[in-house]
Amino acid sequence: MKEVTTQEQKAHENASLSRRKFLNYAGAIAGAGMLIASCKKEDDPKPAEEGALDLGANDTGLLNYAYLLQQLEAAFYIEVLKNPYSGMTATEKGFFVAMRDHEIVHRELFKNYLGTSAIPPSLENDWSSIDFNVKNSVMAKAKFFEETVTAGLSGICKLLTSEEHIQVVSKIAVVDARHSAIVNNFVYPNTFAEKTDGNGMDVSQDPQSSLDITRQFFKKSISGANMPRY
Amino acid sequence: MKLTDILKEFEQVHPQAFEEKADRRHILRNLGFKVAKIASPFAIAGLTVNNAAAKTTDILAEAIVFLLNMSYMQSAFYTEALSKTDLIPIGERAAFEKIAKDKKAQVAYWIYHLNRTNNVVPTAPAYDFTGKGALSSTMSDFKTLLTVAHALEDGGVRMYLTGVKMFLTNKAFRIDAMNIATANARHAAHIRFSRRNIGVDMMPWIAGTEANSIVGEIKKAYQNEDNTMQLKTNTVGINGFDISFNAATEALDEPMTMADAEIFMRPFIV
Repeated sequence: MKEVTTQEQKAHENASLSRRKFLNYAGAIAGAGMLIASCKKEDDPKPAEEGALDLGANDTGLLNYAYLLQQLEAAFYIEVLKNPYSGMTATEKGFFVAMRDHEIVHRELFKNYLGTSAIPPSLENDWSSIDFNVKNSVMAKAKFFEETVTAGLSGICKLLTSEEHIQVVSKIAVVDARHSAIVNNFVYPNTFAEKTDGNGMDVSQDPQSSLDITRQFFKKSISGANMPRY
Repeated sequence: MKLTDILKEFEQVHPQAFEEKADRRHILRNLGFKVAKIASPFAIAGLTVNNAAAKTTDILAEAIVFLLNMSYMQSAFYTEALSKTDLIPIGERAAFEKIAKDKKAQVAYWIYHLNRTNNVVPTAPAYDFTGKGALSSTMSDFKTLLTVAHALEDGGVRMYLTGVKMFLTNKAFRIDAMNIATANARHAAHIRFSRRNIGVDMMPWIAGTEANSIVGEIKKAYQNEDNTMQLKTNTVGINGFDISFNAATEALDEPMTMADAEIFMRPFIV
């Protein structure tokens, strides 16, 4: 049973894995200069940059980040169904409709719960890296979003302090994991759990590095400077 | 950590949501597990230990035993299925092997932590995946195998959600339980996808209580899965969006209490 690792080793693996992932993503994105620049980050918490949208602190900041992730997924599937790629099958459409509806539920739940502490709804997206007319482009981004959101929600769960918040985010995360598995299978058969580690676990991602790879899909600048950190 | 935070955390370890200690232990014993005296404090290098956590030791070890219990059952299920010739079609074999590998690793992970904390590591009980005859072809007919597999997978996801909650005071175990929960949700989605591919009208997510796709004892894997009240909001038609009952219930999985888990698992334990 040598696959068992210590917490320390695991933390180390997680760190290197997310760094590797991040570099993969960065390499795949045209005009990655801005992203590379954001790599050197993470000294002390800083005030949000001028004009940036601040997600906030404590559980509220983390739930706002969860809300942002759900806005992203919902908006993506809404767009996919508004401009279906050529050759979208009835089966594929059925899956996209279901996933869109789930993401709308997630998004609206956070919106209602956060109330006056919520970030604005319907933040404008930057879809410049996606060609909605091309199936491969849509599937690749669906895969990226579902993987990122699943890992991000788990990371949020680690930092949340309220039992109610932990519970609702975990209940949502497992459904996004179901989405992720099936999108993976659409991209390539039997890849539903391709990234589980030697402990049979998914690899979660801390909210800061998660935000680093999701902020590019929003036109507005977003700051997680006050969010709790790993 | 500030004193107020510690007190707050301590208060939160007595939620009404899960059973009292005596009940939890009774359930674990019924499932064939001895829960030994727990080492205290719960001293694991690198894990959060504070005064409140020391007093919550019981619930942490019980959570591990509870989750190990489910992972044992799942691991045994796939091991037995893979041992049968001509049961799993060639095209599905790699997926089953992948799932079996993950389950085995999850079992090893929890055993490792029980050992590290000087707790008794329970041995796996013997299983009967026919549910004592109720589903006689589980290990001889692929369709039946998938039916039982998806109940075990969905039930497992739901039990891990309960585990996440039991690890409220311990971030390290909480994130482990989360990462296993989402890995298991991937397994569940794939099994359901496979079942769909052999002609069963179902999706990779749980709609309502699965009344149409599940029979007999294993229906108990889905009690309370049809919840539509989340954070005090009704999710059907939430905020005026066209959200059906099915979509609303699919969108979130529900934790399965230890008491419900016992009812579900008992028929499969010899």
